[in-house]
Amino acid sequence: MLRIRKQATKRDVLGFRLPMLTHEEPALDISDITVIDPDNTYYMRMGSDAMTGYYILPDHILVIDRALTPLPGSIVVFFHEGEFYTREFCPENGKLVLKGNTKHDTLILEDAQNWTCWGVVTLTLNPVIHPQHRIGRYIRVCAC
Amino acid sequence: MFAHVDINNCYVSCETLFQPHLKGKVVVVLSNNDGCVIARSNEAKAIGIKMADAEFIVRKTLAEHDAVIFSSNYALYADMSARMMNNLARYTYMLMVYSIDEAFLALGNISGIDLETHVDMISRNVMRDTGLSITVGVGPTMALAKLANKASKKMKRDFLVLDTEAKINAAIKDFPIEDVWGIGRQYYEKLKDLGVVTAEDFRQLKPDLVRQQMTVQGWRLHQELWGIACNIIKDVAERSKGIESVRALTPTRPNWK
Repeated sequence: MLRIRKQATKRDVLGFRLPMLTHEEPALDISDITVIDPDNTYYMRMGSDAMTGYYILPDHILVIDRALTPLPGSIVVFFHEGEFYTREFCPENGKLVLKGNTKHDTLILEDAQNWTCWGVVTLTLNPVIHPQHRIGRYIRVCAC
Repeated sequence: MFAHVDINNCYVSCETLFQPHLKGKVVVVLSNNDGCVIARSNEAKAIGIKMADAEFIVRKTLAEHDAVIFSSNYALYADMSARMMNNLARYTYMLMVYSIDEAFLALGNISGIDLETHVDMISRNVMRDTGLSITVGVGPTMALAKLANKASKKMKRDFLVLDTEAKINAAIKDFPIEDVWGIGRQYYEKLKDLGVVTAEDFRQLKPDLVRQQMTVQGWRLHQELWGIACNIIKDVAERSKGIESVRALTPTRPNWK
């Protein structure tokens, strides 16, 4: 997606410079507080309802940082045999527990050898736009 | 000290990063117009697929091994490369991006630092953060760093540090001359006639002879193999000119994976 931002025009000022120009600041950018490490941040879309108890519903966007090491309680993305799993990271003596919404979604791994941590979820985006508003350019809200 | 960093099987690694279940399979990436094989996973190398093999020649072999074939996706590779380079830049004061998957890092001469542990730390951090596996070679000159990288790949290691005279001598002793940076087919033929087989043989040649036979570039390489730095690390690598011949129209192949 291409977004064109209005550039502050450079002008050759004859005489005095407008005093207000010294107070110009760059526009606020939401990524300053959402994407801390842009080089190691990836985005994925939640595909299951295994994490509804954590307010992560299907179609939410996950912001994933690979540079972080998961701590107990982190929301992590794990990879195993062709599928990604988003769960809460709970290592328990010797076992790795990936907690989900219900018992059914919770994964208890005695042997986590084939499970690789893909990244740590730092933020989720929850589109709350009304379906009837999803027309025209508003189709793009949290769309891929 | 210089470090040479190289992404292993760059294009294939970028593709498998987002489809990790392809790890351990025969994966190849084809060039523009699906003409040649330009990247191979280790498994593809093992079944004898060579670099730049034309696709129609190896088509049968690939099908037999149930290979996964990708057309090239340069937008992805460029983005992953930029992420890699930005990650590497955190560990150095000077980074020279040499190509899409290679970079030179200046490590400086910091006293009291154990290069082995330092390079191990860089390599493990970068591999964790980017998800791409890299090989690091460290040496007192750029040619030796590049040689160390190649040598460490042959030893199936993640990194190799050539910081002492003894280590350099050991690495250079059996290193084939054709794998040395800057030795192409022409120079290889010429050197073979002179009886040069390994990098050590080349190093034992007289500098004047090298200068006379191989121009100043060969002489610089000779100096670099002795640990005298001639190439300096620059912010931007000078682009060499290239020529390309491509088909304008190509049939679509809808049944491809």
